Amino acid sequence: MKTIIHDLEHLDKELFNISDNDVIINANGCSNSCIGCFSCWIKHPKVCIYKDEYSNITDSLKNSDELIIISKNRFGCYSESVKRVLERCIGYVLPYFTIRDKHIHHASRYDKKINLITYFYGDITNQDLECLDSLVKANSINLNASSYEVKILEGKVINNVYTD
Amino acid sequence: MYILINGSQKNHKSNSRYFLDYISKYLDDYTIYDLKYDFFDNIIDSIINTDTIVLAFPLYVDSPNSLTLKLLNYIYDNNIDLSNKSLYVIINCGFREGIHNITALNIIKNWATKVNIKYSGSILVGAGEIVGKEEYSYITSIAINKLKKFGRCIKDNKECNDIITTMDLLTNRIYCMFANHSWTKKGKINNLTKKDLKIK
Repeated sequence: MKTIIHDLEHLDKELFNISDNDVIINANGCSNSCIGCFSCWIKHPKVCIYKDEYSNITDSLKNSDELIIISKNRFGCYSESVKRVLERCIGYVLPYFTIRDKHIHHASRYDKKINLITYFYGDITNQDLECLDSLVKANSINLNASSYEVKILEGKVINNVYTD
Repeated sequence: MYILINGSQKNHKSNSRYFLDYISKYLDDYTIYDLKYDFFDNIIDSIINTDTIVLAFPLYVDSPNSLTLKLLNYIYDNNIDLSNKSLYVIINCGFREGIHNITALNIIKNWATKVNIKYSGSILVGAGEIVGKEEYSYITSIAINKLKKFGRCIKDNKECNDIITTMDLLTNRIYCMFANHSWTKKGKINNLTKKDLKIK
């Protein structure tokens, strides 16, 4: 099973190999931003304080083997709407810290590791690409993902850029 | 005239706001805006009419938080002219090491190039939750001294190298131990045990 977070007007399921079992989250409807209350860590673990369709993405991720993020590139970062959704997923990891590769990161809530696959579209410069790679790599470390991929979407053409 | 922008989504008590208040001690003519509370149009007007912008925000998911992204997008999408202005950046994260903020800083530098603003320097604060609380003054003194240095740079309109602060007086292991204890304590306030917080 996959969880797909995207900001596309129309999601081409065939292009991304999405099946009926997969969970699709359209970020464009996410109007509530994380307010840093940490309720999803210390009050109602895993569940965002806002009660809307984005409040319990953690459970989708828990049951997924892959997290697919499809986003417009904004200066080497995710779009604002995709970012809002990602900020509301922090309950996927624990508030507790752990040390990984000599640096501090959040500890994993789950034993299972997911693959992180990202697709970016829009105008993308080499500088953007460098930022995107380091961003997705950092995300994959903090999510304790088993691997990450950065792909560029040009129309219906997908180009692999970074894989680890 | 300096415009100091707090990009935090939290509230007036955010660490980003604390750092801006601290920096403001060095400046004569400044206004501090909270992106969350102040009128967006007023902030944009002030940005257009200033020489120097100091942008502070917390690290969320390894990048600028979505509220800060909203500001960056608006300026870029509306072709707002920022040439001849200087940008200083303060990024803070909860991890002990300020180095975690570098990815977010590179995104800001990338944006700065696109909107023609002169990037003039940054301070990347590790252990922001501790440095932003005055009661821990002994262990935060190194970071606060670096913040002072950064404040003087802004006052003199100088370019400064990116400053990274790390909670040097604590090792990673000890920092984790203290921070983890603090999370368990916060859970207890809500009648949740450590096991409850770790629910799968």
